[in-house]
Amino acid sequence: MTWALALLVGALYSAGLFLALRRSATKIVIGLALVSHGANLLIFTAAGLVRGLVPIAPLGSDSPPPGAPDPLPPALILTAIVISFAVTVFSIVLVKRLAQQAGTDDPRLIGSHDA
Amino acid sequence: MLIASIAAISLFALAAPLAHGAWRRGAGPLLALGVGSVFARLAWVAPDVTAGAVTLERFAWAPQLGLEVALRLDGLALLMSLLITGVGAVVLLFASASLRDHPALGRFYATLLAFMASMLGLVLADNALLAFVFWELTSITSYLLIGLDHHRAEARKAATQALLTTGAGGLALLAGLVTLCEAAGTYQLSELVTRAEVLDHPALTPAIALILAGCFTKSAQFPFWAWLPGAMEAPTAVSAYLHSSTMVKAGVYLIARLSPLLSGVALWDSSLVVVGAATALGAAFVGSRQTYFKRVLAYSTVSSLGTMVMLLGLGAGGATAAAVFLLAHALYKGALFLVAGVVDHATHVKDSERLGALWRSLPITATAAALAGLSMAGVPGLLGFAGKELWVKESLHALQGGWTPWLIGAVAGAGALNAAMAAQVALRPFWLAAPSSAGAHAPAKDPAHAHGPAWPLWIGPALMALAGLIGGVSPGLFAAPVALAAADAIAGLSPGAPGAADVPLDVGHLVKPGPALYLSLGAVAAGLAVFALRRAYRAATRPASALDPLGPQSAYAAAYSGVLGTAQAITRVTQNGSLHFYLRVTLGFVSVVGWGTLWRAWAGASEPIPRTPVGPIEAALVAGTAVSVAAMVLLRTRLAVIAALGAAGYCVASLFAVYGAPDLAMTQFAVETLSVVLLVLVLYHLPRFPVFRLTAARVVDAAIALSVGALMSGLVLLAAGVQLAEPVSAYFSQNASALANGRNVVNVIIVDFRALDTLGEITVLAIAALGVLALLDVRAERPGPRASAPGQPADAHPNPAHAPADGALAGRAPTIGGPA
Amino acid sequence: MNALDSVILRTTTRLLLPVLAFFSIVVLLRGHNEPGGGFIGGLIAASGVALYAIAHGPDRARRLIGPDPRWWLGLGLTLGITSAIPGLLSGAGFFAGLWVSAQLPALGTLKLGTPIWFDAGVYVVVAASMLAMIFRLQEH
Repeated sequence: MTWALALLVGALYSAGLFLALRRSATKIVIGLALVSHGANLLIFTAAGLVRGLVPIAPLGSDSPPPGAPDPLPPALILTAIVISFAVTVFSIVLVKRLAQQAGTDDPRLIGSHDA
Repeated sequence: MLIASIAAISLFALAAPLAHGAWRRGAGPLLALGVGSVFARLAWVAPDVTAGAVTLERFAWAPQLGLEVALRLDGLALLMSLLITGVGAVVLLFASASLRDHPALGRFYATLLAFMASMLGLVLADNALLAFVFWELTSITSYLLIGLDHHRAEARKAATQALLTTGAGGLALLAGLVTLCEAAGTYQLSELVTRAEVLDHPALTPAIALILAGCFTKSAQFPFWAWLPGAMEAPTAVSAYLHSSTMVKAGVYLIARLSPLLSGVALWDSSLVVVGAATALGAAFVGSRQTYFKRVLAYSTVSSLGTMVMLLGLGAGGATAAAVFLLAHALYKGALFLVAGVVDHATHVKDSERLGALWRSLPITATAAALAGLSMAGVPGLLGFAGKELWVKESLHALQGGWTPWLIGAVAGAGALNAAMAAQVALRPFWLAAPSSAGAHAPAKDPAHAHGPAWPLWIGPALMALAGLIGGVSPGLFAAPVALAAADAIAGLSPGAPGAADVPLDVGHLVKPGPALYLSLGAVAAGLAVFALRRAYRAATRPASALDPLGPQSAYAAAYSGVLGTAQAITRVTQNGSLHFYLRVTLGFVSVVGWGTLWRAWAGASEPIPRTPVGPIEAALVAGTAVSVAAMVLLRTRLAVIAALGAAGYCVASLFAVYGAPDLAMTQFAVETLSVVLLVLVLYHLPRFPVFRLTAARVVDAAIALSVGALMSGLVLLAAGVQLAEPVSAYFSQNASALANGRNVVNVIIVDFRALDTLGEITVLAIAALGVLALLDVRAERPGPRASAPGQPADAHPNPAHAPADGALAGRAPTIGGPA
Repeated sequence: MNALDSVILRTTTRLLLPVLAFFSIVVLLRGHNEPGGGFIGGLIAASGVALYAIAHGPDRARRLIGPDPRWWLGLGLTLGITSAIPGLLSGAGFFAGLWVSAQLPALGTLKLGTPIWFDAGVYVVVAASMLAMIFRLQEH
C-alpha cells in the first residue's frame, strides 16, 4: 500500500504542478490545491501506515494502544488542510477580481490589458 | 570615562532634534557646549596620557561570540579624540549660524552628533570588530550628511558615490581585519600589534592588501579619491569636519594603529609610500588648477592625506612627522574650510578668483585665513611648518635609506603646489585687490559691502588658526606632547621609553641650515611663484585635462554603470515577469538537485519499504483519486473541474479515515464540501477553459511536472522506511492524558502542546478571510463582466440604454455579458 | 447568487440547521477525548449556516448569526489569546493548560480547562472566517 500511496502522491504533485504551469490563473490556483493534497498525503504516508488503530487513549487508559499511528502528522496536516483551504479561496478570489478587471485570467495578458 | 564620552555624545544626538524644536537658536551653542565639555574631560586626562598612562574599559557585548566593547585611550587615540570633540564643538557652533534657516537643522545636528559618537568610538575601540562597526557608522552618517539637501540630484549622487566607495572599502577592510585577527588569534587591537609571529603567516599578504584597500578608500587615496571632491556637496560645516579634519583621517588612523605590527613589512611600507606619494602629488596638481574655494581645499586635503599615508610608510621617524602633520593639518584645514564658509555666507561667491580685499569687511576672518594659510604653506612660526619640515626631513632620510629620488621630487612638488593652493584660498580673496569686472560675472553681492558675520561663524576659524599659531610658537604647551605621544603609539612604544619620539618642535630647533630647510623654503618660494603666475600655469597645464577620461572619477563612473548594466542584464534574463518561466526554472532545479540527492540516499538506504496489504477499499480510493486528478487535467468545464477537485479531496479524506486519522478525515470532508460551495460561487460565471491540446510547451511542462512528481514518490518510499530519531510524538502520546486531561492525542497536540502554533494558524485563517473581504470590497474602476444572477429578473439590472445621459454612468456601462 | 428558489431546500435546512449546530458543539466539546475539536466543529457549524444562506439568502443568514462575521473573528481570536493568560498568571507558563474539575451528581466528573476555552476560540474563528467569505461571495 505504501507503494500505491507513493505513486498517488506523485500523481497529485505532477497534475498539480502541470496545472500550475498553465496560462489560466484559475487552473494555477486549482493546481496548487492539488499540490497541497499531495503534500498532506506525503507527510501522512511517510510517517507510516497503520490500519484499524487510532491515536486515542481508550477509556480508562492513559495512552493510546501500542502500535497506534503517530499522532503528530495528523495534527500537522489538520491545520494545513484548513489553512490551504483559506489560501485557496483567497487566491481564487484574487484571480476573479483580476479577471473582472482585465477581462481575462491569463496573467500574461493582464498587464497589457490594464495599461 | 571613555564609554561615558561616547554615550554622552550619542545622547546629544538623540536629544538634538528635540532641543532644536524647543530652543531653535539656542540649541546649537548648547550642543556645542555639551561636546566642549567632553573635550574638556578628555583634555583633563591628557597630561596623564602623554606621560604614558593608558586607560582601558571593557564591557561584555556578545560573550558567546567573543565580542566585547573594549575601549582604550593611548596617545594616538587621545590626539584623534581631542580633534574629534574640539573641532566638533567649533563646527556645531558654526553650523548653528551658517545653517540657521536650513529646514532640516534638527536632523543635521542629530546626524552630525551621531557621526561624532561613531568617530569617537572608532578611535577608542580596542576590538577590531567594534572598530569596524564604528567605521561603517561613520560611512553611513557621512552619507546622510553629504545628502543633507537630498532634493538636489548632485547631493544625492555625491552621497551615493561616497557611500559606495567607502562601503566597498569597508567590506574589504572587514575581510582583511578578520583574516589578520584570525591569523593572530586575537581581535584585541592592542594585543594584535604585539603578535609578531603573524608576520610569517601565509595569509598576511591578502590581509594587508584588503586592509589597505579599506583605508585607501576611506582616506581618499589614489585611485579612490574621486568621492572626496564630490562630497563637497555637503554644507561647509560638514566638509570642514568630516571631509577634512576627522572622517577622512580614519584610514590614516587605522594604518597608524596597525603600524607597530606591520611597519617594516615590505608590501605594507612600499604600498603606503608609493600610493601616498602619488596621491600627494597628483591631488596637489589637480587642486592647484582649481579656483573654487571648496574644490581647492578638497584636493589639498586629498594631497595632505597622501602625505600622511606616505609618512606612515617611512618607519618610526615618519610616524612622528605624520602625527605632527595630522595635528597641524586638522587645525589649518578645518579653519580654512570654515573661512570658506564664512565667505560664502557673506558674499554668496564660491570662486576665489572673483573676490578680493575682503580684509576690509571680514577682518577677523581674514586674519584667521592668513594664519591658517601660512601654516598650510609651511612658513616658520606656525605648526604647519613643523609638520612640513619633519615631512621633508624624513623623506630625505628615506632617500638615504634607498627610496628613489622620485620620492623627493613628489614631496617637493606637492609642497610647492600646496603652498600655491594656500595662497589661492587665503591670500587671493582677502588681501589682494578685487578683480576687475572684465571677464568675471558680477558677484551676487558687492564684496565690499558684505555683511559682517555673526560670532559663531568667525569664532571657529579664529580659534583653530590661533591654535596653529600657538602650536608653532610654543609647541611645548600642547602640540608637542600630544603629537609625540601619538607618534609613540604609532611606533608601538610607550612615552619615555628608550627610542621614544623626542623631536623638538620649536622653531629654534627646526630652522637649521641644511638640505631639509632649503628644500622646504624652496618649496614655499616655488609655490608662491606658481600662484603669481597662475594664469600662465593653468594655461600651460591645460593639456593635462586630456587625462580626465582616465582619471578616478571616470573610473568610478565606468564601474558604476558597468555594475548597473550587468545587474540589469541579469535581471532581464532571470526576472522576466513570467510566472510560467519562474515555475519552470524552480521546478527544474528542484528536480535536478532532488534526483541527485535521492539517488545517493537510495543507494545507501538499508531499511526495507514497509509493506501493508492492499484491501479493496483502499484500492478503490486510490483509483478514485487518480481518476479525479486525471479528469482535472483534461476537462474544460469549470464546474466539472471543481467537482473533480472535490472528489479527489473526498477520496484522500477517506484514505485518512482508513488509516487511523478520523479527525483528519472529518476535517477534510467538511473542508471539501465548503470549498466546492465557495468555488462554485466564485467561478460560476467565468468562461470555459480552452480545449486541451498537446503542444511542445505542454510536453516540456508535463515532463517537468512528472519529474517532480516522481521525485516526491521516491521521497515517500525512502522516508517511509527510515526513522532517524525517536519521534517527539512518543512524549505526546504518553502524557496526553496525564498532563492535558485528553485522550485524543491529535486534539491535545493542537490545543495544548502546540497551542501557540495553532493560535498562529487561526490568525492566518482570519487574515485570509479579511483579505477576501477586502478584495471583494475594492471598487473596480471599470466594473467587471458580470451577468445577472440566475433566478433574478433581468430587468433588475439598470439598462444603460435607458439610463439618463449621465457621463458618470455612461462610463460605467458593463462591457461584457449584461442583459441582452 | 442570492438564494435558490426551492421550497424543499428551505424546509430541509430549517430543520437541519439546529441539528448541525448542536452536532458541531458536541464535536467541539468531545474533541479532547474522541475525534473532533474546534476545527471540525467550526467547519460543521459553517456548513450548516452556509446551507441556510444558500436556501434563504445571505441577509437572513446574517440575521441568524447576529453580529457581523468580522466581530465573531475578533471574538474567536480573543478567546484564543486570552486562554494563554491564566497559565501565565499562575506561573505555569504562557499557554500552559490549567484544569478545574468538579463532581457533578449523576453525571460524573466534569473537567474544564483552558485548552477547551482555546478550542472554543478555534471553533469561532474557523466558523466566522468561512461565513465571512461565503456571505460576501454570495452578495457579490
